[in-house]
Amino acid sequence: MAEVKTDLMTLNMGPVHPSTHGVIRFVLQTDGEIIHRCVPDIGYLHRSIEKIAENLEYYQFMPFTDRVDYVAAINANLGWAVAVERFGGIEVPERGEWLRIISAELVRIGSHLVAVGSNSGDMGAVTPFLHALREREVTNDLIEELCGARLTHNYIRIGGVSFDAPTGWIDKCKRFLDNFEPALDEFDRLLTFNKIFRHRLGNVAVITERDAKDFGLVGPNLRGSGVRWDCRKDDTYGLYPEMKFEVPVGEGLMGTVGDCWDRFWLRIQEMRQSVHIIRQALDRLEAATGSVWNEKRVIKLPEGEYYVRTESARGEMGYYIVSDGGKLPVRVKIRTGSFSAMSIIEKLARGVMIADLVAIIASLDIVAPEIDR
Amino acid sequence: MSERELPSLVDTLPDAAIFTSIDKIMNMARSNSVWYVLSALACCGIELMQAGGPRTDLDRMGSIPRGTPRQSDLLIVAGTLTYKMADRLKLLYEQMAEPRYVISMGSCANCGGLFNMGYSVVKGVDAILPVDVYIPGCPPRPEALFDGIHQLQLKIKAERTLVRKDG
Amino acid sequence: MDIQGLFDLVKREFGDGGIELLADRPQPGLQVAREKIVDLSRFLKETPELRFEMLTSLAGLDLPEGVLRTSYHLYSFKLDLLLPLHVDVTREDPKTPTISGVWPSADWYERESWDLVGIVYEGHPDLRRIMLPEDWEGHPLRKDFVEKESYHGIPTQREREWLSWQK
Repeated sequence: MAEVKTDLMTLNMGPVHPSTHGVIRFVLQTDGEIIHRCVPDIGYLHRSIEKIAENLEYYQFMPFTDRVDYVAAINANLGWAVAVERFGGIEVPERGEWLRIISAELVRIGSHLVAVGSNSGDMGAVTPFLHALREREVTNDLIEELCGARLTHNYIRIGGVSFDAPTGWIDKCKRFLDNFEPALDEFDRLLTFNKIFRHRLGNVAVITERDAKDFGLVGPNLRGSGVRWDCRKDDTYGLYPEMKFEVPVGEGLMGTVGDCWDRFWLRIQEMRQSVHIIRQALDRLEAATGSVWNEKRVIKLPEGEYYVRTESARGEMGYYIVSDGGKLPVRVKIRTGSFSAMSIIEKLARGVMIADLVAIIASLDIVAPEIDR
Repeated sequence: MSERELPSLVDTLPDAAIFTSIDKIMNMARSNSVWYVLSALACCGIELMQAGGPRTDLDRMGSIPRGTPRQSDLLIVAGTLTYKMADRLKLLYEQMAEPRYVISMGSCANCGGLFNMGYSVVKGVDAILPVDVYIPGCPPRPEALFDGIHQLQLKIKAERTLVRKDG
Repeated sequence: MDIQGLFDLVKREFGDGGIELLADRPQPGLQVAREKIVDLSRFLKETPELRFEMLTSLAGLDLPEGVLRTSYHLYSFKLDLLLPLHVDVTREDPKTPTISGVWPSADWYERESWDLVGIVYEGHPDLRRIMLPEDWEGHPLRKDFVEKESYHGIPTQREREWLSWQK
């Protein structure tokens, strides 16, 4: 048969595409279905948050940290509060600490549900996405009773939290946790060990441990490659040292260590660990009394540079604050997990098919505002 | 032989025929199937996604999300618009076939919102597109989005295609 | 090993000039001259006792008196130590050697620092704008940044003057 001469085709996966990962753009050079080169193009959601921080006082900046990661907003709030408190010398009352842990883990569950749900939606399984959203609606309701907002919470304050738990909230939480664990098992039966899913995600885009560390990956992406590192245990903050939980790592059950299936499975395991943490914290909250906010109106950090990290749903979120002793910071830099995850896509996407590229983006759990801030 | 009484035409008409204008029928059909493009830019996009989800179901109004602007009537701009994105959004709008509508959802799309101080944020989507309905909120609840689409439906029903006002 | 032991190891390898220990800060770090940063990075990454395998963060700053600083944060899993490094350059000569040959994650961080602060990284494979559009003028995170009147025909005017950058 005569050879057909083909050329490379340039394809644009534009900023608006039918997936919930946000406005990011890829320019692909493909030979039919196989990708030769993939160049990401970001910055479509650059909202100049870091420049705005230089004009606001520390407690005024809290609503902007919501918008840095809007799928799991309380985790970003918590990072900013811990960063300012650690070097500003501000204490948090005990009841405030327990409420912080409970709300942060509830939001982590919500964020992982969106990640897992949209991962399955991108693979073509549309129904599990709605199962995940159904559970997320209940966490939205719980957080809305606590702080008044469904999405951009602005719940944590520097020195505590803003509102105490209303009466009956703790029982509602316990009822949600009792209903949630069977729902996770149902999700596992439907999807995680499904044969099509295993073939679609297993052995795709293997990230080795050396690559993960070189490219600065954090969170479930790093743990999926076998590195057991979690800010809640290794660089701890708040009252997390008193919680007993495990840190799961990817083990390569359905392929190689560090493939897309590992990262999917890891997020489901992390949700189970979060349920465990919330149960312990709820018991401690019932026993704690007192106020929830140690309010300070004038907050000044001493002169110098500080880098503080906390564990958000997508990995380590670091706040680098440079202060000159006054009320306004000189520079604030926010280090997020999605930015590093985006930079490894160019290397992972050589030689795979376009459908696998969708699987890679979904398994790395990228949200656009974390990349562009 | 007695005369058989034929049923009167006027008496049976209400069961047999409907009187309306063509405009009303067209508008009823058009307004109850407004398909939207998923142009979810930022946080309001998550509320848009959850509004199409199980609890607040936009599908019961006939609105389903489409992946391409060629098949849709409505562009919901959900989220902050940056200068880098503005050219692409205009291109998206121009690819939609008429009659087409725009809903501006959230504070950032209405007026720049929380990021009014920013150097890279367009102060409101009506700097580049003609907007039909503004929905305030940061982010607006899914019920608010439902109400916004309902307002758009009322606006569509008030349009006149066949009968012009001036002759 | 604590930071004093690390500094002794570094001084034995590199001699006296160019690297100072900032020991009296809450987070002690090293102030490095720009000629030594690449060799120091490679030494810190590859020495078996140190193994700083991860570049956690790279930020560009605009400090008073015309100083532009790049702050690196390195993390070693073996020692469980977070080490800040600072490299200062001036506005007239804002060039720093790139360390993307040592840690590939520095590639995108340095592009962001060039885009927003204006520090030029020599030897970078592809130094172009990443967050802002390609034809944007100016480096916004500098303290003396002045906005243009409009971008591609979209005005940058605000309704309330007190929010404007130009004071």
